Amino acid sequence: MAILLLLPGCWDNKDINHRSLPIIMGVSMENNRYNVYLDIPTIAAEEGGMKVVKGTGSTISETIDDLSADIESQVDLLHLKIIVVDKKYAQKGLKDSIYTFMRSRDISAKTILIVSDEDLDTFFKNVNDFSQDEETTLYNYFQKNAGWNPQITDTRVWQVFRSINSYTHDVVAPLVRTGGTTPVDILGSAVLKNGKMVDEISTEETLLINAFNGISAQGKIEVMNKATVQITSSSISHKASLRNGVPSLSSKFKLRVTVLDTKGDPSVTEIKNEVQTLLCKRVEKFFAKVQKDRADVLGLGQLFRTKLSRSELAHWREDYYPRMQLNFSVHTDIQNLGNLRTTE
Amino acid sequence: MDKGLPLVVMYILTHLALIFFMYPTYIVSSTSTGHWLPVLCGYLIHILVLTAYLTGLGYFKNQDIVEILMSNKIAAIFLLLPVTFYLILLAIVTTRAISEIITIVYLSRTPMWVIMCLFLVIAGFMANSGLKSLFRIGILLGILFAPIIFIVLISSFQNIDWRYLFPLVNKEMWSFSFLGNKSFHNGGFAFTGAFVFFGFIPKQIALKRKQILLSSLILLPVFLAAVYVPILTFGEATATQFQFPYITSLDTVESNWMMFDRITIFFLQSLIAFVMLYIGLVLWEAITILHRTVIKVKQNYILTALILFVFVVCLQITDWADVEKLFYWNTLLRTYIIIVLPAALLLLGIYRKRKFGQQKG
Repeated sequence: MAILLLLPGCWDNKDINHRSLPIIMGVSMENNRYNVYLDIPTIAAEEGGMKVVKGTGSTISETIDDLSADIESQVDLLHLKIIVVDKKYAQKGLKDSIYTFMRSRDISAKTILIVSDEDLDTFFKNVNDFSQDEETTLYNYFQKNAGWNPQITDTRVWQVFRSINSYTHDVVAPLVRTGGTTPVDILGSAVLKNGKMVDEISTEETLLINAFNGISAQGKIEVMNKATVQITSSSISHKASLRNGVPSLSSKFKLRVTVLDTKGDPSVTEIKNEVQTLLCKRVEKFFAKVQKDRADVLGLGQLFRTKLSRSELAHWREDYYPRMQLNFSVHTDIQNLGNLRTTE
Repeated sequence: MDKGLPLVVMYILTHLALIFFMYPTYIVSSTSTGHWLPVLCGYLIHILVLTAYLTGLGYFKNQDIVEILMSNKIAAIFLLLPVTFYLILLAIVTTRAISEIITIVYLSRTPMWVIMCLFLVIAGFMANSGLKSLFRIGILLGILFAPIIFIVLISSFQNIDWRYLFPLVNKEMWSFSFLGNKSFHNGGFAFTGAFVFFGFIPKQIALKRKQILLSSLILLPVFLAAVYVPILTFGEATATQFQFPYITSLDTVESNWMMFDRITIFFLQSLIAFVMLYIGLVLWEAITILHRTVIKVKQNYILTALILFVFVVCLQITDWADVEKLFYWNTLLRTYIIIVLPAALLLLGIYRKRKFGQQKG
């Protein structure tokens, strides 16, 4: 019985100082070969910082294996937090890689996926220059309880995997660029349709997606001609209908805002109207764009699950979504005017 | 303490051990819409079998199943032999499957035989100490781990999208095509894997039919959650691709307050305790039958031989496809168990009651 105590857990153990625990992994593709980058925090006592290793191979796992053989410690992907892919590779389609990540026993399904607007050599160089002694800068940047903003999408590997297989749900992933005075510049989002990048959208449009998906748009500041408001809470309700095979959706977006700045002396009604027209216009433009891409990033097909059979849903992206009509209306409540009075 | 309580605890824990791993896999792949129907069907069969079995046992006060059947020795051996086979096969499949899951979720470098060895030795220890100790272990494990399972179960709803629930009802569903599906039958193990032990309850512990049937109501939402959480998180088309859908959907849950990054590990640790208890119980049942019917040697020897046998068979299964095959064989045996065993008990009981009635009259 006592011998048994030796068995569990500690099999083939390797001390933590003989393991490399990358936090960020980068994947790009060149001539059908994968370039894999691993960003590993170094655990030397004196100088912290990060170390980037790069390898090339015909599959991701082969490349990681090679890297593991080349560096002095064993690569352990258990603590991987972020996967960066470059834009060119995303446009080619991430399907194979996403399947690898999901199949992997080490990589967590909730690893964040981001798309880099520049090539990964530059990306990793800049990220490292910036976070010389802070290993988790980039990770914190995307954390809901740290640096996250509602303009940033929060996309996990499992969500991309779902979108590859789902009939009715696509995703967007944050599109970033490095260099500058902040760790990364967020450019907007990459629209991934079935795991393939088909378009990119701006940060304002990303905010709309988050609001649509019920992630409250709280904190966002709208800059308009007459005033700046801060959204304190938002909710959305939908009414879906299907007539002669043409889906139509009426969405009512309810906003509660606080007035922050005013230019000139606008009245409350003016501010309300302005918010409404601005948002409606933005949604229309955005929707027309994703509809043309046939990418259902809002997951609108989900709302028609009660109306369409499964075999019909399988053709949602081709047959129904491009013909869909969206009637969007905004209802704004100004909850708080601050310490100053505003005219009615 | 209520005398029926250990029984109820054991009943719930052993079922919890079975629900979360293979069961969602099979139910998800058994049909493409309206998964609640196969779940409900399985549950109804479970209740039906359980009621018949407990009623049958109820006719014989102070006797357990071996005693009841031993009144005719040859019949008893014929009736109990498949039960023993079934139990041993259960022990094999469960041990093999759980060690596979452990290597998938963590301990990816630990060889499988070590995990299986550990499982069997601990389960064997439990089985060796007898039913009463098993009950006591059950209560202890319940107090320690059931709250964790409960918390994890609730937090697994974090990423769900209720709209994946639809279409709830459609026409093709009512053809009950899943009844002919192999996956549905394979999934039945979660309903019928653990009910046999009620037949082995010694006289001191009261077997309360009503209490047990009521406690099975607790299991229904768990059955539904195990199937629906992956479907609502990923959608049906994606959920079918996972080896263990519920475990994968747990992997998507984000919790900052947890000291571990993945609650899956937490969850698995707790379930492993229940699985060990379950294997222990199954082994105990098997050796009890063997000891009291055919082999008249010390129970320890039978247990050791049995564990060695299970271990060797487990080692022979190198491929996951073989596990699936064993699962299917098990299904055939299970059909026998759920039909013949309760029916035989019921008929015997009614026969006995009539005889006694005539004698009195």
